[in-house]
Amino acid sequence: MATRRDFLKLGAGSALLLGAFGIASRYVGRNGLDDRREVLLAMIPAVLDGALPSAPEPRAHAISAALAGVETTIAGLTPATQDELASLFLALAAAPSRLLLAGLAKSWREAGVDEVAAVLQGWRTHRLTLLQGAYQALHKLTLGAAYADEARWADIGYPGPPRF
Amino acid sequence: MSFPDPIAEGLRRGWAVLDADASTLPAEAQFDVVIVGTGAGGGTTAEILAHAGLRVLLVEEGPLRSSGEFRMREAEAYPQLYQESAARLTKDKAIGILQGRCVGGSTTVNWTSSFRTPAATLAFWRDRFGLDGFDEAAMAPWFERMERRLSIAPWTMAPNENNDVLRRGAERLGLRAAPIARNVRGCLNLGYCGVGCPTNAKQSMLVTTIPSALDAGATLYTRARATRLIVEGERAVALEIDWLDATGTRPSGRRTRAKAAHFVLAAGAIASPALLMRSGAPDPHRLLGARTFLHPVVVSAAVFDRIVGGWAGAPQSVYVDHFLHDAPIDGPIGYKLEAPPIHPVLFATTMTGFGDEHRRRMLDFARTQATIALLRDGFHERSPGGRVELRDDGSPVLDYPLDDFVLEGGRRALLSMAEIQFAAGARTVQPAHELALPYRSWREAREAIAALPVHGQGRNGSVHDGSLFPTSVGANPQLSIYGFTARLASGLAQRLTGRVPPAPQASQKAATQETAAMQETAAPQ
Repeated sequence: MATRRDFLKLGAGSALLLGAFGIASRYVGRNGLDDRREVLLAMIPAVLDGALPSAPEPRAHAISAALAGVETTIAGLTPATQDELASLFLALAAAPSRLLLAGLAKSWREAGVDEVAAVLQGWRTHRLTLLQGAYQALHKLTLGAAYADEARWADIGYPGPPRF
Repeated sequence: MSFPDPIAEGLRRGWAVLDADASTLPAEAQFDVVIVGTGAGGGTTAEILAHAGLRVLLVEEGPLRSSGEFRMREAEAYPQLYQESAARLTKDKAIGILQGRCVGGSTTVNWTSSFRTPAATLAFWRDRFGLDGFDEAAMAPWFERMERRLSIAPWTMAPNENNDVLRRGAERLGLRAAPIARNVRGCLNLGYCGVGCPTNAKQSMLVTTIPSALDAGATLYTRARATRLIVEGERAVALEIDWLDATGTRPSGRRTRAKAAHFVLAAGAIASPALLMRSGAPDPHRLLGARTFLHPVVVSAAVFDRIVGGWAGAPQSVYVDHFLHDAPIDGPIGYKLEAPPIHPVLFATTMTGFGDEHRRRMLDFARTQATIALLRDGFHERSPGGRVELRDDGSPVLDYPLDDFVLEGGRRALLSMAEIQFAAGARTVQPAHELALPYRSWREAREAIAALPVHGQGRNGSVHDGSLFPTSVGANPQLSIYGFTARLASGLAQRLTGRVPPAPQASQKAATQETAAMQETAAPQ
């Protein structure tokens, strides 16, 4: 608990707002999986900044490994949580709600690591509990998937489980 | 080296276990007692009722997994063994809830801490909630019985460094630190209790009461969701069960209706009230799902000059209760201090920040000591706990708003933990709070933490799990659930059979096997 500030209780209202964007997005024919990938491919380099290789090819490989890890984790969540995340990704990908929720005028594809990091930093202590929740969810999904990967263990000094 | 797998052996002996992937599943089945859930409450109840000669069905939403499959990897264990892949959160996403979802429930994945219900808690329940007949003396024989059954005893090996920091820091400040009792036999001190014990040393329900109940003829359904009780008049007549599909999260469309003379709900403090809500149980005072407690936890991470290695060795082998007793029980919220296991996923998701900030914390992984405080919620009128609600799809979610009263307790706990960690020689202390920084001295930490912003009834049904308790326990709950449910199940068995049921014993044969296994592996380690 107490890992974040409990700001104004706007949770219910903002969830309605998010729901409305999710529904609107569905009507204009957006694809949930593409939206999720677009947002995650922008978020992962910001969340894992410093923990990714700098050479382009290994870096791209590490990002796609992390993306695959996040998608596996999402597939194991309950249907209700998966739906909630799908609404979030839809709302973040659609331009009007992206501008409102992330303050980002350009698309996630065009945003640089620093710009995405600024968005995340703003959400950590945002007055909308919805965005604090979005930050917490992306933080746990991305970092959990990254450090579940044995390839990262040596670097942090973890020898792995004992062998019999 | 391989260890005997009591589940694989039992299945070969012909246990009555039916999984959702079976080619044929019955439309209807008949038992004396149906038990929903296979954790501390369900396992304890099943063994007592099965040995009393009753035909028992255990219904478990999670899978049956056993030691042969426990590879000590978080990436496998969390999706297979935990509720919502270990990512269950309260409604506003502020609190994570680690809860088991497999045969054995949370006992398969807990960290083995075994405390009797504190005397002060029992007295509070009697005085404020009229819970007569459950005082310390009345409960002692039930705790003793379950301690014998599950080999619960204070840990006598030296604590690992992660726990020893808590002990040393506390003692330097004149606070008493004591060893924690654990439910283990022939424990190899590996430190992987939270991802399924690979050696069956942990005496969870998975390797004790459930095999014993199955040997006595009980039936177990796995990946089977208890959807609702069918109630006629004042009696439950059947349990409607939805078998899950290959993902383990959605109903496959196949159903079984299990009829019984009696139903025991032991699905835990979130799922049991949710099942009653889905069943349309009468709830005139809107009490169903209310007063659900969590022992909310705050974490303080301290970096040392040397390797701490919190992944190895028994987790939570030392505790400090000073801050449960330094104020009246119904005063400012009290807390218990312990030292949890440190594994990469658990650590990475607990540490705050992202990018470089988080990266620096991960590079200190091996040198980090973690202390946690379990806040004793529910003892003050400003700590009413959470309320279980149903989502549109019928799944439960816990609405647990954190108010200033609880958060202020969290702040005091962060202060106590930082002081202890610096007393033990920490270089820096990092409270897990979005606005906290690594602090280099107790003086700096004291000022900064002080300034952190914090806002912040049916006739044939029984409940045998942690949702019974009117407040939090004030200690890790497993032995409280064992003791209370052993007593309730024995009373139920007597009521249903007319005889006093035998007290199940741990088998001597199993103990010999475990000791042999331990000796075989001790050498190569």
